[in-house]
Amino acid sequence: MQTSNVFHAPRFGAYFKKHIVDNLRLYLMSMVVLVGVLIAIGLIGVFTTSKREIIDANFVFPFYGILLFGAGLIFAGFSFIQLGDKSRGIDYLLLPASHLEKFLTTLLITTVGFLLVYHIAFSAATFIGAGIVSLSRGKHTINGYFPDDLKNDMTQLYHWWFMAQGIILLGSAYFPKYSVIKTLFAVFIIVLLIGIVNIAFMSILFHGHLMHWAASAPFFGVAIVEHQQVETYRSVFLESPKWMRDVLYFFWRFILPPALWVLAYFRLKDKEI
Amino acid sequence: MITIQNLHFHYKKGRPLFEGLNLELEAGHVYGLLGKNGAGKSSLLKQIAGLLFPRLGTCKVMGYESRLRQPSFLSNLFLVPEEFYLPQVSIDRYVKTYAPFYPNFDEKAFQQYLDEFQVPRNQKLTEMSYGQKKKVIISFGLATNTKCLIMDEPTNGLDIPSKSQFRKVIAAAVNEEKCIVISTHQVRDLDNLIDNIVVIDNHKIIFKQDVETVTERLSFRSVKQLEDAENVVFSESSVLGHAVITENAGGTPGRLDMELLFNAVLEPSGRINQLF
Repeated sequence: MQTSNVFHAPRFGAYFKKHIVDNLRLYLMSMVVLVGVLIAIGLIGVFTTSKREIIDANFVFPFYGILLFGAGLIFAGFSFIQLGDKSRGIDYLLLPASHLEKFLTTLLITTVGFLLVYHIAFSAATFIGAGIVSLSRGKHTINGYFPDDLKNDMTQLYHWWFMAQGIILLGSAYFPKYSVIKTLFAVFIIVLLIGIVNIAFMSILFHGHLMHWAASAPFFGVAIVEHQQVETYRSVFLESPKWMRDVLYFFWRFILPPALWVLAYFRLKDKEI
Repeated sequence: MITIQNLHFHYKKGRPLFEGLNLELEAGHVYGLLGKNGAGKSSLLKQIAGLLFPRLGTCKVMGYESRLRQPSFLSNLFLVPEEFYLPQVSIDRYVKTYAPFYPNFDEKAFQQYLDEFQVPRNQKLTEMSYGQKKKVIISFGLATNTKCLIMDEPTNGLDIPSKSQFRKVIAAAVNEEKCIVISTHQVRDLDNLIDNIVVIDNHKIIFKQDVETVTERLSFRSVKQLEDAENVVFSESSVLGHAVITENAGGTPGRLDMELLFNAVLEPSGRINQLF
């Protein structure tokens, strides 16, 4: 029976297994380093704040967020590192699995796999760190209460994380070497260009009425001055319509990350060595 | 097996590597792909493997467009690149993870090839020399039993006994269903191994003949003085006098001097090509 050239579950399983076997040592080492870094940063945070008696979610959350981005994006930046090396790239591209299977493996490992490992590492680090603090102070120091406002912050954090992960993954497909730095530079250039185009458009549309030449936020609004001839003039921030902001927000959260993944997949398909 | 039609390719615009290149390679043969440095031997092999894409024209292998790199195509093609990668695992682990992707992989044959190359199976790939690693990847490539086996400079890094072992294992692996393409600039390494010669130069295939036809039509020998030979098509000075290619009047196949033939084919006058 002819197997599918796009997706074949046993082949995908074999490829996934191969990927894990090839990278197992690296992943285990990374996990140990991650736990160590988390414990070290957490302990420094606790012991350098003399007044801190209780370790609660509000204290842990910033560490959680910063390291989620830091570690996750560096990890995603290594997604297609093999394509930066001729011999490894040939091995990768000529292994008899489909581009989709290879891409899905990378995507799963850098999203589901990473989040799973990160949470295990973070939980382990929190309990080990809190245990050390409790022992040193001779009392229980963990407050397990999780405030509702943090739950909303967590949701926002994950939306931003998936968007950033998608950007870095796409960047890794374009720049296999030093992908994080190159991608961040490319993002900076793109944001700068959007800003410049926005300033130019706003200057044309609101000529003479802008509060300041840079007083506008792309897609969100512009600050203008009313009654300029009167000494007590006032500035007004004109917001873009709510429906438009909602559409953009939806696009940002739910369309952009998968769109970036799709672009990365097609980049992989078109890769030449 | 391999059909390349009107292939155009360049790395940089204005500097073409292939211009309207056409090539047809059949199963059951061992092709030697020869060419000067930078002629495009490796790039042509990469086109066949789907690692580079034609800018114009087509490259089909077993009916598959190679640039699509479909799994059913890749599971029937193995490339031994000049610069190859082997993961930092044992040979057994390597076989366990890579062999499932090649449905015709022959474990017994793999062991035989390793034995022929005198590579111990229990050794870790990380502990091996470059030459030993090359033997492992060649053995694995042969054991995959893919219909198309491509090797780019396979004898680079092999010592003299290993080159002889290489010829032996390739000869043992040839069958009617398999097409083997070997690229090299060390033409003597292919002596008594290939049955077809393909020479690439100046963006095109300039010579493609089977060894039997070449030896039927041409005679390769050494003479002390050029006057000693008649119908000289090409000659080169050597320590013992002159190495010459003459027309083979009798038509009885003789020995082939690949290096001499290669130099003759590249000669601007193109006299050799006129005889075919």
